[in-house]
This record gives sequence, C-alpha cells and structure tokens, in this order.
Amino acid sequence: MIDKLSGGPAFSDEDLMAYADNALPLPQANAIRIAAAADSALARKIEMFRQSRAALRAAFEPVLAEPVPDRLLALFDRDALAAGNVTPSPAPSPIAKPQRRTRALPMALAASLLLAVLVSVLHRPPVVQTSAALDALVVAALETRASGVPLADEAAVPREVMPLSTVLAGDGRYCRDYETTTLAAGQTPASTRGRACRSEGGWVGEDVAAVRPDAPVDQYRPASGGAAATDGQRLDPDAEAALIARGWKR
Amino acid sequence: MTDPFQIELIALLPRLRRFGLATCRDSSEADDLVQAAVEKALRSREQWQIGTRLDSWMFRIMQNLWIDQQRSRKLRAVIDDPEQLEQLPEETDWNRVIEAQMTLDRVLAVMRTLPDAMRAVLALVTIDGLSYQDAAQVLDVPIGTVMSRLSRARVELMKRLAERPTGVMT
Repeated sequence: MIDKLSGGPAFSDEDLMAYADNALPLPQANAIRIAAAADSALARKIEMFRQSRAALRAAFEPVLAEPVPDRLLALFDRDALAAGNVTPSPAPSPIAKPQRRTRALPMALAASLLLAVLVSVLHRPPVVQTSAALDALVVAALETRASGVPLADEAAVPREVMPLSTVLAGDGRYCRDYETTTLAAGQTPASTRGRACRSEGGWVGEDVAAVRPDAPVDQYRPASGGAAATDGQRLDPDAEAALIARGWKR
Repeated sequence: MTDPFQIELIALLPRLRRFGLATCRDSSEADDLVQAAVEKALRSREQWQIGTRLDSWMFRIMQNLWIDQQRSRKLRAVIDDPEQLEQLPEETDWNRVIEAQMTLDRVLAVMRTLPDAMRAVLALVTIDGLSYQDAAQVLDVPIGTVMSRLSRARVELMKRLAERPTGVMT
C-alpha cells in the first residue's frame, strides 16, 4: 500500500508497534526508521507506542515489590519457601508500618516517571540540561561507551545517551561531553548536551553552560578532531578505549 | 528434599499477582485468581513439562480460570465492597501516596474501560514483556490477533489516559 500524501510505503499500526517494541526484522525496521525520520506523524505514532509501554510498565512496577500475601505463601511447603528465600510475614502490628511505608517510595518514583511520560507527550524537553545530577543511563553510557557509540534505554522512557568526546582536563580529571536524545511525541528527536567529569566517586555533572547547544554535533565527534567545547587535551579513540577497559583508572 | 517446581512457582508469584491485577477488577480478586491458579498448578503439576516455560503455563491457567469466572459472574450482579480498599498507615506522606495511588489507580481505571481481551494482551506483552508469539500461545489465538488487539489497546489506552490528565479520586 502506498501513502497518498508522501508517496512512500504506508505502515500499519501493527508494524509501527512492532518497531517500537524492537520486534521487527532488521530490513523492515530500517524501512520504518528511514520513513519516520522524514515523517513526523509516523514518528509521533511510534513514540505513542513506546510511551504506552513505558507508562504501563512504570505503573505496574510497584506491584512486583509488594509482599506476597500470606494466603498465597500458605499454599507452599515450608522448605520450598525457605529455599526460595521467602518467609511468611508476622501478623500485622505497628512494627509493620515502616515496612509498608517504604512501598510508597517505588510507587512515587513510578508516578513521577509516568508523569514525565505524559508531560513529554505535550512538551519537548529543554535544549540544555540544567541539572548537575546524572541519571543511571548517563552514568552507564559515560562509563562504558566510546565516543560516538550510544547507549539506549528502551525499557523505560526511550532515550539514548551518546558520549561525544573525552578530554583530560587541566585539573587531571577525565571529562566527557555527551548527548541525550529523547523522541518527544510528535516531534523530531530532541537532544540535550551535557558534560561530566570522572572523579574517585564516579561521574559528576559539570556546568552545562560550557557546552554550546548550538554547536554542530560533528564538532563533538572524535573523528573530526576539532576543538569542541573542551578546555583540555582530547583523547584519541585508543586512549579512550583503554580508559574504559580499566574503569577510568589512571 | 526441596521441590524445584514449588521454588520456581514461588519466584513467579509477584509476576502472577501483577498479571492478575492487570486483568481483574481489584487486588483482592487478583489474589483470588492467583491462589486458584497456584492451587490448580500444584494439583496438576504433572501436566507441566519440564523444560517448557512455567510462566507461560501459569498465565494460561490464570487466563482460563478467569474466563470461566467471567462466564459465571455474568449471571449475577457485581457489588463493589468498599471495605476491601487497602488501608494505609496513618503517618504516611499523603500527597505522595495519593499521587502514586492515582497513577496506578488511573492506569488501572483506564485499563478497565477496555475490553477483557485487550487487557489480557496488554498485561502479557506490554506489562510482563512476553513476546507476541508467547502471548499468542498463552491466549490460544493467532499472533496476528495478538498484534492487532495489542496495537488497538495501546492506541485506546493512551488516548484515554491523555483525555483526563488529572484524574478524580473518589
């Protein structure tokens, strides 16, 4: 079937959903990726399927952390429960309250995640990241990925973090510029840039004003060799790979 | 001598409860369903073939039990029991809990406006992460049916979630 407006191939909702779920064979997935890059309606629909999964998974995640009711555990043999590292909880008492209260925390996290998902349906993320706090995906990408190699998170809010370059800063720390890309529903992919430096304790976000959001992406890639927003000595890919391999130890 | 079948089943309980909650009307009905399914599984465990997936087998038992229950329930009126609402401790940060509760409650409330068959595919694929093929086997329908139901369910779900972004606590 041919799309009347664009003249390109039309994709069914099932195709787009399977693409969003990473369940399409590569040739079909590539066809959709190329089409979506030029068609914001298509990209919006793919994003909707991604968001639906993220929203549902986040909403139901806290259920997994709930204690299993005793009436279910009572169906099993005592030694099987012990081997499964499960023990029936004591009868409800005031002491049990703090334990129950902690359940509100993962639920609150899930709530904020869902909120973020719903908000992102309406708004594009800001161009420049303003917080120095780094999330787990950014840290994982900085720690393990070479410049130009993205790390994607499909399970939660779909995002991709790609380190752009690595420098040895004047103070002796290794610093990396990186780019976080989210596909805000209905829009072309939106990117934010940031910089973080590796200290003993791990990666710490730097003042992001140092990274020019309007600089072309190529400027940040090691292949270009250009002086991006760096104030130190840029590492070549081999040096970078060696650092990653030894966990950023000197 | 510990029983590997039981140990594996115990490990599945959180996922079975989540599946139950996504398909049933409330958490107590969900746990009733999990309990009935576990009892059935322990009774007829020789029907499960070692080496095949226990999770798919359990989901299938739950799904079949639930369909049977729906058939018999249609014969009598359903009355909600407000005393079954979960009690929360007094010193809780209410804002946070209400926000959290509303999230799961809202998603559940919207899910429950969808047809039963759509909720089942949402629960299996979108929430639990089964492949389309595995879900098709659990539900005993062709994979194409799973995909068309699932895509329609997700479009409807997101449309209805976006319609009422604030939700209403009753």
